[in-house]
Amino acid sequence: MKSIMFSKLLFVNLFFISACPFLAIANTPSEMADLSLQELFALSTDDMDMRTYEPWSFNFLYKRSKLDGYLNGNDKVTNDEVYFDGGEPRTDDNYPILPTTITQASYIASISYFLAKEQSISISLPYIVQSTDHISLVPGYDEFNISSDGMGDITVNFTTLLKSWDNEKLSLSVGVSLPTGSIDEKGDTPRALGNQQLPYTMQLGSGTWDLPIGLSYINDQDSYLWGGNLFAKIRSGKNDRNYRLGNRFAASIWSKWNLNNTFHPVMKVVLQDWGQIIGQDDEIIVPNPQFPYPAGITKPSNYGGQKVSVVVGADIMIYSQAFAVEIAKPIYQNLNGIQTKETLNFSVNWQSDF
Amino acid sequence: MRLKLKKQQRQCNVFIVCLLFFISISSAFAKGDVSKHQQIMAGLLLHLTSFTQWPEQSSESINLCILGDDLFENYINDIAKRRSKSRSGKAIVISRSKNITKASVDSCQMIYIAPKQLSQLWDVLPEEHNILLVSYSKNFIAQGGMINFVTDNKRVKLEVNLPAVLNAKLKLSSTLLKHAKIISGGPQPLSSEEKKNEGK
Repeated sequence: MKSIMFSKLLFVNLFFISACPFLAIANTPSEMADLSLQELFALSTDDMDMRTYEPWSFNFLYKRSKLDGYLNGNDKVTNDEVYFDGGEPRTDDNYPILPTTITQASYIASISYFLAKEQSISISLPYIVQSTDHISLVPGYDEFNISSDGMGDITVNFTTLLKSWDNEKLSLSVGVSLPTGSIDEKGDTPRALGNQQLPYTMQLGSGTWDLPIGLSYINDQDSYLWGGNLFAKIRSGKNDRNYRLGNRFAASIWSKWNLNNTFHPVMKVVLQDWGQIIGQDDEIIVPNPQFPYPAGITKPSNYGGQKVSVVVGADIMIYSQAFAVEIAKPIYQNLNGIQTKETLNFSVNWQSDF
Repeated sequence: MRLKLKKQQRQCNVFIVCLLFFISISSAFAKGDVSKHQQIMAGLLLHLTSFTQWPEQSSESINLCILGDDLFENYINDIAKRRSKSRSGKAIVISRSKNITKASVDSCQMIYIAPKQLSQLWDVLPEEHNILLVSYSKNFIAQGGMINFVTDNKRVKLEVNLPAVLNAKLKLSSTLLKHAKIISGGPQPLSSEEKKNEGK
């Protein structure tokens, strides 16, 4: 409880720190008028994002994450402790079906149109592929795999520069996430013969209209840049299956070094906080009043938590094409209930302006 | 079913209203910001009027036309107020046009064209002209543009398409060419009088 309060307070604090005005001296027109051609060529710009003023920008992001092993809060628990094999008493903390490894991959294509140099509208189209390995007590399903894939929730975003100073920038991004991803994915589970509704982790969308909002601050120190991002995804209402995914909040602080024109190593620390599921999909529970949840991933309160990750990566510029590669490793996870823990997260992004 | 649709419609409306609200608020915030990169480009644009020689000597002023999206806003006018004449003594007149028409191009000696409107410029530009064409776009030089701003190691630099400049019967000073990346051909020599002007 204390750690939830702490992370929320930290989030609020970071928000206000980022929103504070920064002192900086701008070049006045009269100063600029006095500069010679040579002096103008020698001036360092604040063109931090490496993009030109082309009106269109295409982005392709590949993200892959792997969840393996279990945590109860922030305590490690073994698969044997979470798996109910019939030899010990059934409790709220063990389940006869146990997801062992979850892999999730997203292929996100986005296209942005720049209304002005620092103002853009973008649309992101995600394609999601996910797979979960299980073990279970049910005969014939000792070891089985469930997978789902398809279009996720399409997001429309508007990004604008709020304020810029001599070597600092503050940008805002607001958008709408449309409920285009399926929440009716089905597969063969031990609950019954044939295909049944899959648990929340295997669905492709939230089923609700969501509001993603972000604030980003960049400070350019010539040989390196540093900055911070705040992000929130606010869910609205409940979907057609009578549940709503938890709101997501993230705060990050990062630094990027300008080694040369093409290679920029990046380091980041990201704090994430996301809520548990509100409501319940009644199709994925079993008719057992005492233990209605056959697997941990079917229980709404087994969602949400806090996570701190360290990210290392690089921005690479090759022939006017920008690439970003990142590997994230959680160093702290405090999860609600019993959940699989994230082990590694990898992403690669390609950006091209035209 | 109807209730569900109504609920979704209401949620959608709320989000659209929120989005429009944020867009209008943030647009108001963003107005009036000229980044340092744009400030340097504005300064260089005005300098280009001093380092270029047009064939029509009779004109008393140099018309710098900013066509399409305006990156420089009032900042360039404020610099021009301080340095209202080029080194040749001609007045610098800045005009702007969002729409790219033949009329908006005809009176210009120099054009800064926003990348978004590049194709429109090629549509209306006469085959023979004496206009110095400047932009900041990856494709500008390849399409026949003359001077392109590029960013290299956080410095604004120039790419010059010399054949296109010569084709328009324009002359660029050697001082300018010394600082530019010449895409093809070599710098055109200036007369001794022109060199004298540069030294002023």
